[in-house]
Amino acid sequence: MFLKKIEITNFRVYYGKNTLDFGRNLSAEGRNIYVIGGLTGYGKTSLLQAITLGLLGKNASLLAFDKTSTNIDYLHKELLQKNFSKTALANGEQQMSVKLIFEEQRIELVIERKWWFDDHGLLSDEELNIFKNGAPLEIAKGVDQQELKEEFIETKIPPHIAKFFFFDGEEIRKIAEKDPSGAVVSGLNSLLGFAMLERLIDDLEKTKKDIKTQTGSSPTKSDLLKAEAALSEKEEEEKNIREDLEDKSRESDKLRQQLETVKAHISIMLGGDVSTTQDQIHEQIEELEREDRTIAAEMGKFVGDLLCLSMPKTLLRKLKEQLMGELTRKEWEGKKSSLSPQKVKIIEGLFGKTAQQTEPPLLPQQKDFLVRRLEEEWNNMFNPPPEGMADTIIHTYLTQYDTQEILNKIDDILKQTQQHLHSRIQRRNEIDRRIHELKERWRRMTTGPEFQELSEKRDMINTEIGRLNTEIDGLQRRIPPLQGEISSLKKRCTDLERELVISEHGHNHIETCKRLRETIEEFMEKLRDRRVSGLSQKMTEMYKTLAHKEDIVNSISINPASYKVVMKGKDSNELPDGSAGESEIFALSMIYGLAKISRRNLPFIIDTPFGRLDSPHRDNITTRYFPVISDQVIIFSSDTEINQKWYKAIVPHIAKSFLLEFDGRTKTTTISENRYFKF
Amino acid sequence: MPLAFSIYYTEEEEKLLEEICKKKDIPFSAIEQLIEEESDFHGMGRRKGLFPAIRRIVEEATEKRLRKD
Repeated sequence: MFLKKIEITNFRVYYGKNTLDFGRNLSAEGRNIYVIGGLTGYGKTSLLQAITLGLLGKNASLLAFDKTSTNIDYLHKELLQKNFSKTALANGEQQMSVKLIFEEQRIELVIERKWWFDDHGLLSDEELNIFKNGAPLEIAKGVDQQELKEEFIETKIPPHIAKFFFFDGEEIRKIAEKDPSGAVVSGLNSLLGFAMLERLIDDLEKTKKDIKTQTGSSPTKSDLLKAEAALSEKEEEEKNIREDLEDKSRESDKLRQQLETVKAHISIMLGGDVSTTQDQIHEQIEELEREDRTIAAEMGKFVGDLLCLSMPKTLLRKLKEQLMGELTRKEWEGKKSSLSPQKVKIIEGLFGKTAQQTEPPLLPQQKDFLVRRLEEEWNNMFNPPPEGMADTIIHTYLTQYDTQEILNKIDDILKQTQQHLHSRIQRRNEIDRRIHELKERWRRMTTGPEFQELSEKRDMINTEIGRLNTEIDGLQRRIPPLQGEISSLKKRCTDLERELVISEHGHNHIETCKRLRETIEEFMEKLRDRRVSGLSQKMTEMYKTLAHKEDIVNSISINPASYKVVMKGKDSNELPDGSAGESEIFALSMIYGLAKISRRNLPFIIDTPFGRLDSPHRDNITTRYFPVISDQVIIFSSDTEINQKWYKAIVPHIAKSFLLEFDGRTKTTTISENRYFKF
Repeated sequence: MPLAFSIYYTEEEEKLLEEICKKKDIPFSAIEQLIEEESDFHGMGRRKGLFPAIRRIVEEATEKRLRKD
């Protein structure tokens, strides 16, 4: 990965936009060093900080070897506010930004961070943009864009790895602790490629657990065999029942045919009567008698409802005659009585004192005789009385109208009674006749031996058919629940088969997970030995180059588990800890070893590179370390570090130089390209 | 060869891994892919898609292993 360009705006002493253009990668020509010269306070550390902040955002605070992630947000905010250019704030500007342009395998990657501040210089907002070959980084919708952008950068340059490549010379000694702290161990693990393999082992273990959970309780083949056996048993049972049913149905049909034949014989014997058994005849008789009783009861009720019907019919007729006679009498007497005054008037007209006299006048005897004769004739007019006239009127209390009403009623009753009773009497007569016939048949039946035999046979067949029907019913009732059991067992078998397949797959996948894990573990173990051994070798090689202690240090060994470093002398004895300068040499050797073993070709950026080193060490680092540590080495130096001597020594390796110039009046720094201190 | 693998491991290391894979009857490509995926899915948010990818690789490796048997 090659850092092509840095653009910083309003960052500490860098007011406005400032650019560090490293040009193209010249490492192939042996030019891998970029020196940035600046006196103390001119902005070297600020530039390194701008690079780390621009690249890693809040994770930049993790670069320090003795820092943890506690309060990272707070520290980040504080750091940004501290870094915002005071000149920019005074001029009312609100934005600070860092843009880093990298090139990796012909792909241009731009990481740009912008921060906004309020009028008091307090952080108000921030933004991260990433571009690959000029196009914004594609991130799936629906996820936290900002988070994934940060993760993308972490993938490229993890903070715990970056700390081995971007650092302050003063910090570097912390790497040199022979019993490394957790942060260094973590970085070493990542750089050597073990952290990722350890994650992979954990992830395989989790995948294995997931598969185990999904595989479930895992039925065995024995479970399936048992279920299949139970299914066969039930299917066999159903088959047997169906066969049994067919047999019994056939037998029943046969018996029915026999029964029909017997019935036909009996029918012939009984003259075609369908009632073929004594029991049936008895039942019929009982039924007829029941009907007769019902009709009698109905008639009784009818009589009860109409009281007059309890009277004998002749009495009713006599009453009718009497009432009609009384009516006739009343009419007769009425007529006679109404004409009586006319009779008196005629007699008076013929024989009264004022009546015209005959010549000679009638004698009194003659008159009496004539009057008597007239009266006799008058009476003869009303005699004999009309036919049917009552001798006397008994029902004197009845008016003529009442009498007529009663007569009408009597007529109605007689008519209704006749209709109602007639049909019932007729039915009762029929019943009597039928009962008589049946009893006669009964008598004949009970006396004929042939009939007895047929009757017994018929009864026997009926009994047998009944028994068969009961058995058929029982068998038929057994089928539906049996079919339910069969269906359920079939489903169980299918489920078990499916589960067995899943289970088998699951077990195979679990076995694969196990093997993959074992493979990676074994690989990691061997890789660790190889890489730590390689690291020791490279470290020893560089240490001997830099330290001038070839005659004392024979080898540097590293514990593969703890990374504890032991330096051994010629006699293989452990050597005591060296000076601070030696620690720095030791750390630089370790970084060299890591860079070579990890195959991470990151830019190597170092501020204040010589720290507490003496002149011979500086000479070695400048001439033997910087040209080989990375394809891109960016050195922030004061005029006393990469001085005239060292600058001259590395000139063949210098790709580009820069000089930081500070304006005391404006308190701002500007970057001049292709310039360095004047010696 | 997947990019991540060639970045992280030398040819010698690759041979070492191949030998172990052979011994464990595991396809070398499965390990290559796993390392590629693990490298791609570095970071918590991106790890969401990692497990389906591992699962797929495991299933393919199982199939290859069984087919070989």
